[in-house]
Amino acid sequence: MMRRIESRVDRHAPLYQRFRAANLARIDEFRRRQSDARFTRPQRDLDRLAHHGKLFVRDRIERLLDPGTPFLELSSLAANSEYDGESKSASVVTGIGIVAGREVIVRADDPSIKGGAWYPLTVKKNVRCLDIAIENRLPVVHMCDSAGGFLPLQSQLFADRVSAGRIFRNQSILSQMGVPQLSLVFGHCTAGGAYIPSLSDYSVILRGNGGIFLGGPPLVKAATGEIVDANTLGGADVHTRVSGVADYAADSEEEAILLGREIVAQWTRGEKTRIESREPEPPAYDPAELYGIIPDDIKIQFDMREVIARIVDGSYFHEYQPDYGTTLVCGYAFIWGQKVGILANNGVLFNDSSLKGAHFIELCNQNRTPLVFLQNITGFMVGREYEARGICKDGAKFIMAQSCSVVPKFTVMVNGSFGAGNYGMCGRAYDGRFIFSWPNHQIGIMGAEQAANTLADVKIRQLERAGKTLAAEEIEAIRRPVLESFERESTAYYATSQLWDDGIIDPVDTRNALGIAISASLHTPIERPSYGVLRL
Amino acid sequence: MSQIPGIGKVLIANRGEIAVRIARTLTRLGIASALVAHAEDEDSPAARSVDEVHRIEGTTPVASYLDGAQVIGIAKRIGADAIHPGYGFLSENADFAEAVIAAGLRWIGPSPKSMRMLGDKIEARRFVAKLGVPLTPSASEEDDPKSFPARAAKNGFPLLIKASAGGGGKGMQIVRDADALPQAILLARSAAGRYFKDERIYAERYVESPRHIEVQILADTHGQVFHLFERDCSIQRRFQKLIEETPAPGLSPALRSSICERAVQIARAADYHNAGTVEFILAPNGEYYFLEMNTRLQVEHPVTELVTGIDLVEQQLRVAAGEKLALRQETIRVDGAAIECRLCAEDADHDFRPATGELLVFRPAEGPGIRFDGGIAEGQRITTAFDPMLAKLIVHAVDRKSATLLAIRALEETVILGCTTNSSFLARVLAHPEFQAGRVETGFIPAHADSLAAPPLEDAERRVLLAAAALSNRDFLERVHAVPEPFGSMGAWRN
Amino acid sequence: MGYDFSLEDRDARVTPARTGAALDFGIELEIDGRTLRAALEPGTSDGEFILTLDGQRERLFVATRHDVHFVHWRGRSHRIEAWNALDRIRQAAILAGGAEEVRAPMPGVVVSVAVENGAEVARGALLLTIESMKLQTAITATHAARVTEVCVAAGDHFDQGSPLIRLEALAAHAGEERKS
Repeated sequence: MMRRIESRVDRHAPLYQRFRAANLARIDEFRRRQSDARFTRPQRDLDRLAHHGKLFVRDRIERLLDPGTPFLELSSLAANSEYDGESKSASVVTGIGIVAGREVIVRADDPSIKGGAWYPLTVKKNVRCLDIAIENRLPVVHMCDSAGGFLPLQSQLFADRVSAGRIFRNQSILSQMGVPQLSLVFGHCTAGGAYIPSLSDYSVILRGNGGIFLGGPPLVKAATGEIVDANTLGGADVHTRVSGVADYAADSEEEAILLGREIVAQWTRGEKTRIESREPEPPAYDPAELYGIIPDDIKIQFDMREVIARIVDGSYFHEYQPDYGTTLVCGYAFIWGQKVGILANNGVLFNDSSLKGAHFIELCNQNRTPLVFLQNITGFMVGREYEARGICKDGAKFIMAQSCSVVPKFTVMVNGSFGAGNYGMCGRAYDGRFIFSWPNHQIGIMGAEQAANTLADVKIRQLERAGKTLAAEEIEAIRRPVLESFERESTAYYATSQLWDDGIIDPVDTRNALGIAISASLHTPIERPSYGVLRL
Repeated sequence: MSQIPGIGKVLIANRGEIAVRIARTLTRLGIASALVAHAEDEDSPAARSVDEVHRIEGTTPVASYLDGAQVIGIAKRIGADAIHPGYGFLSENADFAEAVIAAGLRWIGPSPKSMRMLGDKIEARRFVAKLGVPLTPSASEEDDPKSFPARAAKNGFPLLIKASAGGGGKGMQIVRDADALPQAILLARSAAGRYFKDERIYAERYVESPRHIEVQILADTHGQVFHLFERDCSIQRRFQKLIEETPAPGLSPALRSSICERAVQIARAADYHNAGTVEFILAPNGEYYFLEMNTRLQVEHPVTELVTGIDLVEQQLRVAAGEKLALRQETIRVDGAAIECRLCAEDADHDFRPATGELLVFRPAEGPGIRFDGGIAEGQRITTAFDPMLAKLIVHAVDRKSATLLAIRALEETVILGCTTNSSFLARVLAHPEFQAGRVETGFIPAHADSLAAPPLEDAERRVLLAAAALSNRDFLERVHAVPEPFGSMGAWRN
Repeated sequence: MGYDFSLEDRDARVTPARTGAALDFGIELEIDGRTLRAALEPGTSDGEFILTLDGQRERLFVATRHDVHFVHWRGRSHRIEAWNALDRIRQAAILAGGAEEVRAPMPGVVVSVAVENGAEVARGALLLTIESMKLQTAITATHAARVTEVCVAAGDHFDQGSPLIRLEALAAHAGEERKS
């Protein structure tokens, strides 16, 4: 019992056409970058792969998945802004898919980049992958083929709280939780890497290419003088017949994958959390119209209901408090048949919209309804009047209600995400289950323009106190570097490079991405809600 | 109440379709039917079609059906009046027939004496030669083994070498020149020893492109001998009949009556009684030669029954009971045409090798003019323990053309799943232009091997079959259904 | 990754995809590169089915025994074999790899040797019997093979892992056996 959103989009309007052209160009760029990250490799590396008879990482994944089922790849453009772009997708492919009818998360090393060596962001992506597994109780299939830590950058990936050690800690926790893991060892797992199969409940190791050892042959020779080849040291036969480090041996990658599928088929499927659900149906409006809705300029406002209408089932939406706090659109809808509560920005957050948001979040928690945040937020309203009305404590209520939520939360960075608006609307720090961004997304503590102006203003006032003034070109000299660095570091590409999200997606893919994410989240039970002290 | 005085209960010493066939007539005539059955056949359709089933045992299933003493013992014990041997197994065993008679039972077949004489190919040939019946030039080994190769060669090539005691094409060889003769003799001799425990062989001129024409004989103990016209059994593979029909296509009335009268002449001279079949080879030039006489009911007897309206098993029973047959040669007429197709568990696409399996689905065609003589049922295991023939489809129509079309339709409508059969091969033979033109000969199948081969499936046809298989595959379906929602509905989406 | 079927000695890969949600459940099959929407519903009699393939209806009979599907369609019967992909890959590897060494699973003594050099054995055939800890174990062939070397004789003692017999895979029966 919901009503269909009535779209006001005019496909023939010049503005629609202008936005559409701009967004299609953005999508082109996104697809070009993504395709480059996925497939462009130095010939030398591809030759080496072929020489060892290894499948390309993506072909391994395709063979693992059930035929005819989807795969939601996460963070395909991770590390795109680091290491001169060398570590494509951060040298590891992660994603959610179906293996033997079971939802699993796949973590696959990419040996076509520096032998699969782990860069600092590789480690971050691996940890994030296993965090997702823990939060959503998703079984993991590891496809191991990594040379180990990238030594030139070891200080950035080894010692900290969420460095490499966290991978093995997360694996242990998963096992403790009863969430199974399988490792398919296609290449060498050296040093720390040796713990990935060792900490997995099941492991398959490839004869020939596969190897598991704490210290590889060179290290052994350096440490003890013993000369031993890799196969004798930690090959398939040693580990499946003698040491018991691995469980099954396979003669080819294809065989290992088929065996892996058979192993996953043995796993008991857990009960999923029941939420309200109904038969799915596609949106009544074409999702491709999103390209004509999202403006080409971040400063142009648009109605988030038009976005909701192109994501949710049948474009049906029950809007909560339609006439109160109107800059935050709240309401219920279904995504792939799964009921969610949606909070979407239609302007800056005022006192009333903050209170409405806090209230709606509490309703969803009591109602056991997962939350979806659609961000296009410049922040909470500033100014004397709003401070006097207590925008700080109203914003705090919103943040606290959101932080203390027990239902799964999902965030889509539809457009801007600035200041404390990012916090209230479940930014990365708030442990939402998944965050996806659109290519036009911009993020920062404030807008580039405001930041440049603020810094220039501070400088001008300093100089004024000293009795000096700045010439226009001197002000510009202060503004330009700030503007440039903000602009660069507030793009969707920079954000996704740092793993501030779980990947950039094409807006038309939002419904599927959320559908899979919500489904995955339901492996974890929803607890009784409770809150901290609200400043009333 | 039995309609044939003196025969109240008959023991059928056979299995499969012929046992079912015999039981049908027994039941119609009010005669109690009993069957010997090996453990493997205890739940067979044959066992279900009789009044009593009695277990026989042996080292192999076949051996148990060949154990005459056991069969006679059962017949005595259960108070049977007669034994019907069907075809195969004990049907041509004169010693057995003699033992049956000695045990005070009626033997439903000819006298042991005529069985002996006609059952031996060499002796039979000598006998008919004296009657002036044409024979292919031949030489027998036993006359003088040393000179046998030379005498055989004198008949001219090609030569057919076969076992004196044999039948059913086992161990037969065609030799095209003198060089190949010694080897063929050796092979034939060992095959004869292996199949018939009798190494004697003989050679005869092999007639190229011959037709196999046989005449159904019915004779009583009162001196009456009738013929029920001919059958053409030229469509053979490995010397074994596959398709039989009557009337033989393209036979002139003069030739037909000449052949039929020859058959009657032979039967009369041999003092033959009961049902029998005289087989001839018909050369393309219209000359025909005596081949052999079978002293039993033939597999292909139903085509004769359909066109004449005479139940041959009933007539056999009446002869065995000593009745004078109420028939007159002038009133035995042929009505329309009949064709029999032998449905065999074999792979016609791979050299007719025997196939095994389990009958999962068996749906014989039905309708006017269609007769199905079968002894098979769903759930039955098809092994190589017995003959590969599963059933016989016999059709009857106003003429040969209609019968051919009816047979093709009936073959296509007959569903046999679980075991490879020659069903569609039979349909291709019937549909072959040369068959339809009546140009049949015993070499028909090898001569038209290419045009009879199964046409490879078109891609679109393959897709239909593969889809049906995939959607019937439990594992396949299970895995499709195992995909949870909403993943299943999304298909192979990638972001 | 699809499922392998063979028809008329030719292999085919059939890959399923579900279409529509539960109410509108359907299966799409990709067969040798062509995608078709397919449904199979029972017909009016036992073994009879109606197959709908991209909207076209076909009446056929289907019966299945283990991994073999028999389909009667348009007057002809066909036999389609389904293959477990893992079995198939392993079989191919055995045939390609050729040689195999059967090693002792535990230390013990040879009770008897059932084959000699050069013998051709079917899958499951007894190769030799060994005794260890008062228990006799039959060592059998895991696939059709030719014996290339018998490394032990009756009465010989051996350690765990010592070679007992060497085999060479045979292609001939490997496929046959699966079909029986």
